[in-house]
Amino acid sequence: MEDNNPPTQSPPRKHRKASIPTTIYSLSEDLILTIFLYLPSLATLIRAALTCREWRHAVASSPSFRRLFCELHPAPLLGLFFNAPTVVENPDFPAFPNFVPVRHRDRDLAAVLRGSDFFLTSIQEHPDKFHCWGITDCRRGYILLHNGDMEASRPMALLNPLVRRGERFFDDGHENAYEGYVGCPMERDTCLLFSDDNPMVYKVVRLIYDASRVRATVYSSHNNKWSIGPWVDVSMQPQSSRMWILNSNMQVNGFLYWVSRNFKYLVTLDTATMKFSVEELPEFLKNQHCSFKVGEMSRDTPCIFYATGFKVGILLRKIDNDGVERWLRVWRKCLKTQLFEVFRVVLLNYNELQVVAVEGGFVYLALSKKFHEVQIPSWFFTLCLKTGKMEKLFQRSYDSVVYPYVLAWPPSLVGNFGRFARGDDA
Amino acid sequence: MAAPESGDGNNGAARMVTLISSDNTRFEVEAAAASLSQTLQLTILDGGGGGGDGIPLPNVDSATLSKVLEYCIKHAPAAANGGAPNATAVDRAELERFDNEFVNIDQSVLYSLIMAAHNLEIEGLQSLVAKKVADMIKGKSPMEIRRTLGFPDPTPEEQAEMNAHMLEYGWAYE
Repeated sequence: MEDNNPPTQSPPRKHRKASIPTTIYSLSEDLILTIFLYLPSLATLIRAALTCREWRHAVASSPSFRRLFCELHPAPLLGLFFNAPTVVENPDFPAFPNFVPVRHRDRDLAAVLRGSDFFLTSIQEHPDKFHCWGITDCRRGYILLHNGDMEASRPMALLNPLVRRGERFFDDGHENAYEGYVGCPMERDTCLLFSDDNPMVYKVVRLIYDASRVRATVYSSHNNKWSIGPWVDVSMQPQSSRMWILNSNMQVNGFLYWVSRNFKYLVTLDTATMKFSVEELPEFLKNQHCSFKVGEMSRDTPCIFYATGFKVGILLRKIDNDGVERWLRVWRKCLKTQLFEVFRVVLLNYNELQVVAVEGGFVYLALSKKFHEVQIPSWFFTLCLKTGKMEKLFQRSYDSVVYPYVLAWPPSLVGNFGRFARGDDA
Repeated sequence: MAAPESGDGNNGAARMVTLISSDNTRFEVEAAAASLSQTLQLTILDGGGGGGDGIPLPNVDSATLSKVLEYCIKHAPAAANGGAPNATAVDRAELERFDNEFVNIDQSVLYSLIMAAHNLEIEGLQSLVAKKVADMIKGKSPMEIRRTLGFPDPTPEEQAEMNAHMLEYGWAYE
């Protein structure tokens, strides 16, 4: 600790004499990071890190600091994207996802909302695309959108509302994706996958299926091409519907999950090995009043969170008595009392919970009422799986697919990536 | 009121130690207060710092050390009570008032303090100052942070990098 100067380039800062007062430059990287741990949210940290090259480098080069910061300050939810209730494939009927922000009091979080493109204006300017977009996935600050125009060239768009002029357009599938199908081939919405090693590299996966088989088609950002995986027989009972897999789009730790229409099976794709597996879901999830999602209990742990009425529960992958790994219920609870504490008499308008998404240790839920005569908009709220704390978001109709948008770490702060990579780090 | 027996085996008067700053000023202070520093605690437990010896602190000047000791003396009784589970609300409020006022000082002193707290491993003081500096950072754009914390004007090279960042992370600069 003899020399507390950060390794700066400018020579004058290096010669600190006793007579010169101590400045912010006198602090070591360690101390700067200690101070950063007290910043209230990731938004503040990003602004602080952009103050100078040394600070950005301090954050980017310390995985242990980032881990600790994430533990102390979970990535903040900025809002929810709602797809348009119906997307008509016609240029005369505009359809854009709606973003509903969460109203934080924090100035830095307000700055993110004020200064970003949550209206998705960058894609509306595109001359060749219908004003007809739906989100198919949302990961690490990026949203993946599909244009409703079946004739459009490069109808997929990937964009980060926080990054100006960063949108990319590409094809929505391989021309031979259906080759060799039996019966009627179908496809599901595209899923977005990021590599953990390099946040600039991503893949897009589209599931294709026919009467009894599935196949993965994958777009890779490094060569801008789609590739096709083999058909895989998932040997389930014959399905009554030809659309027997739901557009569920769930992802944990490199695994993608789809639920069958009868809620009987879970189809899983391990994107590391590109191997499919199928297993039966527990009986109680097949109840038509039950709503559930597969998601992240924590960063690496998949869970199923379900709700029936106001009763909720969690299933984890566990070794069963017979030595086989299954989804087993590890926790259940009736949330009615806690809900009443949060919503008071408003709760009386509702009779059930719907699970919207499970991400990053938070469950996104909607208070709803089934079989109502008068439409009552849902109340959206979050439930922290670690602390059990509930946080009200806003009231809105739950009439389409919803994607939580959480502030993500910019690539230039998680290592030597992107436009601002330092050449001297090699 | 009888003085509580100190745990270091000395009955009656509290044990004193001498600390010597980088500019050779000697500070005599109760061992209990100096022991808020994890680094000093080890030396003191080994019997150092008593008599005419003194513990030299070559990285801390006298102005900073006197400020550090002001903090330690104020916090020593609560620390001796093991985080003060039986402290009254009044005591806690008084410490909080002291802390708030304590960090209401020039930035150069703040930075010297956090460096000293880090060197001497005084956790409470380090987090107190870190929190104060974090409060000065929050709610500001990078340029406002530079101004608040007294950064020099950016070099042309730094300005070019900031302009590039601004294109990409425009929201952060608003």
